[in-house]
Amino acid sequence: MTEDFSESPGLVKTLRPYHVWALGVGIVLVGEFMGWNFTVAKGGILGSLLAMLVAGTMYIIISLCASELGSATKLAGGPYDWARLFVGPGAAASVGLAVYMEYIALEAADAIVVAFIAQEVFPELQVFPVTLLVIATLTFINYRGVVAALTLNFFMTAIAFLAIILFFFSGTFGVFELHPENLFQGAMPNGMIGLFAALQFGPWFFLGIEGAAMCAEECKRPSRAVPLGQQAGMITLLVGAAMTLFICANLLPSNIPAEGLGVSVYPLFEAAQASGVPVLIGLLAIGTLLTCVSSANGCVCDSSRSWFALSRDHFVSNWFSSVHPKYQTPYKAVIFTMPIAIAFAFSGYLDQVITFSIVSGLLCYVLIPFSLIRFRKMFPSHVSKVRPFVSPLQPWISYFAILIAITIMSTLFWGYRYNLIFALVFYLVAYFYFHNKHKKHQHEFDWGREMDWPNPSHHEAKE
Amino acid sequence: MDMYWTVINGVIYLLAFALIGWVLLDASKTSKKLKR
Repeated sequence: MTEDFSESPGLVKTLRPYHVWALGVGIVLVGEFMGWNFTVAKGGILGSLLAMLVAGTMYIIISLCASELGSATKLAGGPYDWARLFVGPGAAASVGLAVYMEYIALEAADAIVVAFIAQEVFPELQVFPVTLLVIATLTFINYRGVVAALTLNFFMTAIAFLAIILFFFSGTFGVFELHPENLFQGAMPNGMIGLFAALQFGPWFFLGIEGAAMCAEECKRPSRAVPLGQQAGMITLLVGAAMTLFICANLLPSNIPAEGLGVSVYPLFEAAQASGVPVLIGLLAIGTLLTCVSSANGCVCDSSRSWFALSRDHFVSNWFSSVHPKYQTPYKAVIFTMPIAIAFAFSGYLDQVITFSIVSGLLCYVLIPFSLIRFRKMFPSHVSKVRPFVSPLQPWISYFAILIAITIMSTLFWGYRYNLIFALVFYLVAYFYFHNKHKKHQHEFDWGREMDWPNPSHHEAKE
Repeated sequence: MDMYWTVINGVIYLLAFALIGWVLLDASKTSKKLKR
């Protein structure tokens, strides 16, 4: 399927583990600065804690699956390529499209938020040109090279994460006063149903971490860089999420439904304002801005790789599969992210765009563990050539992750039922469309030639 | 003051379009080179 690679050279292999970390954490960290606190509005502090733990468990498993699959396949398409190799063409194209939509919707949302932050600082600035400038700048950087884009992400993400750590330790070491009574007053305002409803916003803490494995094809040593970068990223996010929840729940009241933590737009920044320490307020303001830009930057990188992989295998026009001879980036796929992101950004429905991104993500979280289950069945022996990283307790934890993803998806029925139905119908139609389209290009997959692997176990059984 | 911010917003538009223009121009040049 990959024989018509392109008329130009392949992607450059220069990335290191810290780039993988920067890509994964860079996309996700924005979720710690905003969005996660809607769990508090639904289920109180306990609901938020439960949502963080449930979503965290799912994402730890997804990260383990992504590390194993990414380091084994070493391909740019990520979940798309894993589904293509181990599940089937219809599922592959649907998940490829879901990844593309997930990241591009997130990029648009991030760009709008950057523009809103800029407007809060300078009220005379217009949202439209700033959003356009953010999208254009990030497209330009990603067009010029993946190393520059991800090195920039590394520094922005590191500053934003350091801001969270400094804020947390300033609180625990008494630089400002904490209010532990807030933790109990808004613990569980809507009872058990609130706890369940809060799950739908749990993915905000970690949404997109699986994208770290999508730069595997551009890594110097993918079998080391992908698992190391991905797992370090997941640990970073777990630490960040716990610190964020603790400090925000202490500083912002959550027992008043119309105000406080549950409805805050920038909870970490508002918590810093509540602390009254000017240095921390400035630091968290910078962190909020940087994390939005780094998230959008990582999204351009991942969505373009997904589109590039879809194009390389003829699911969409082969025209997008060209690699720039000088910068060695999938330049046409990178450019194509721009009009779609601009269209999403100016649709005017920010919450709808984000919900579509979450549903697309959850669809991936069903198919990524499923790809791993199939991978383990097809290649049961732990040969390091096929499987350089072996994740523990498989395939049982993959079944568990699928169960959690479906449970979280079902909670979207409260409040976002039409979005959920629309997204599921969209991907069902995509599935049948791509399944039929693929029949034209179908041929027997040569594992030896295309992956340098032995034949899968069912092949040997046939022989 | 209004004029000042109109100019700044205009400059931001110009910058955005310059970046988009550069990317599109380079992509079209590269495509032509690769076809040859």
